[in-house]
Amino acid sequence: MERVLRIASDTLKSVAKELAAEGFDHVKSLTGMDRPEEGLIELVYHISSYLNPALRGRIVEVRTEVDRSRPIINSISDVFPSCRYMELETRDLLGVKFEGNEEPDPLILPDELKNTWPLRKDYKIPEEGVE
Amino acid sequence: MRVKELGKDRRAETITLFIGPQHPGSGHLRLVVELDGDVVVGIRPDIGWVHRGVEKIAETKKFVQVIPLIERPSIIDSANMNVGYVRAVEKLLGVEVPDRARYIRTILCELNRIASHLYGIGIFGNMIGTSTIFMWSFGDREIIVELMQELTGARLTYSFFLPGGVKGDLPDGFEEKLEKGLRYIENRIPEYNALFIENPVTEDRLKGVGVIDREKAVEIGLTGPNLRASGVEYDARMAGEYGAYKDLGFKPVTRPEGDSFARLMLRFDEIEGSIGLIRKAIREMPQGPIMHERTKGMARQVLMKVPEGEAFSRVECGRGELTFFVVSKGGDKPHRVRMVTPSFRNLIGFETALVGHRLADVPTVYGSLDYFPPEADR
Repeated sequence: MERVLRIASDTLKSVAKELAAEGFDHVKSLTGMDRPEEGLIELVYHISSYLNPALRGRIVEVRTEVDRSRPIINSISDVFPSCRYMELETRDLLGVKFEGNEEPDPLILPDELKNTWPLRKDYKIPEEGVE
Repeated sequence: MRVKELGKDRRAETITLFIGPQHPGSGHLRLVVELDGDVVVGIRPDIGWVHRGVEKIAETKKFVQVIPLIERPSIIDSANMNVGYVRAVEKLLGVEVPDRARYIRTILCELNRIASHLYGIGIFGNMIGTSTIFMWSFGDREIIVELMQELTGARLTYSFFLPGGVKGDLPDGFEEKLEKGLRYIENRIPEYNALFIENPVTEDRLKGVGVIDREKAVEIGLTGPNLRASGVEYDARMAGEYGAYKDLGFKPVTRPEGDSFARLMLRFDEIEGSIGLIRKAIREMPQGPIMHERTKGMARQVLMKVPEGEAFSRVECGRGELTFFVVSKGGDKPHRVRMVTPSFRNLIGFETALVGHRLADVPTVYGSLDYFPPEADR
């Protein structure tokens, strides 16, 4: 990765705004990673530009962490609408709350899996046996 | 999503209509459409009906076992899914793919793009009631599927690209069969023109419908043909990070209109582009090995341990850009596989393109976005 920014979670929105002002215009990917041993969930945004010829094809990686027991962070979907559904998906699968981008129901999980976080490392995959 | 809650808090003068999840064309998506008369005033896509937890399952499999898994969300475009993942693993391994393998990858990926576009065009035709086009393009796609079967041994899910190269070389006599198939598709395009494209019914239903202008397309982060049909010149193949696109001088096609017609036409443009790329790849293909020494042989693939690290890869699938973010902790299984598919990124286009149109335009816009539910849900 050419450029990696490690930032505190409360500065995410202002960093997103700065990147938008620089000419970055869309989020390609948002990854949530559970790190239970440190009590953290790490969020990795890959942001790039379609229109700015100098930035096109370049990807900037923005990394931040939230407390695993209270995973709340500002949504940046007002700055980059392209990450709206990615935030909702990350909420479903890792339980991170993106303030400012809230929907009452799960986006991709069925209702019965609401408030279980399958991508957290301590999630037990239910097994169907023949006992 | 609970049905009773969806209709709540709506203004009395509008009607909330559920379209799907059983679906008029291609898969499982529910559109919750708010209508004033028959004009769409709001639309909310409800997805997840075919969510299979690919990212979670990937954490339980060996690196090579993840290949068939990540192909499943889009079996009609599996070579392009495959190449995205193996590129990320190759970056972690520090392995460069031999030149001949890069060309073979390009040929299979482009064949798969043609098949994927024909599939999308067929579904689109079906959605707007032109079932002849559905029959035609599915029939013509079969030519390409047969070619891919000849090369890989499988009709749809090839798992043909492994970290470090490809599974096999071109079979004897493949070039002639390939050329025959490409010529057939090329000769069919004027027939599609005459029956479907230059048809006043198609033009009336598609032109000016579901317009997404350039700025809006960028803002919502559309990808693939949908983005290029709004006049944005971006294609992950341009970056030259995989395949032989750099050597072949790849240039993306764009159209300025941003409507459903432009999105349809862009797929035809890209079929022609892919035919050109495949021919050039066959002509310029170097001789040599097709697999890196360090990953050669099934035992090395199966017992593969991947050094600790993270890798990000992007490739251009039929429907747009696919990204992988693969994290390894040094073991034989990935620690995390993040897969953001083009259909998932194009999902947001429904809201942008449909508000203000009539209910009858919903299938038009749906088909024109070439949205594929399993690919979006993963």
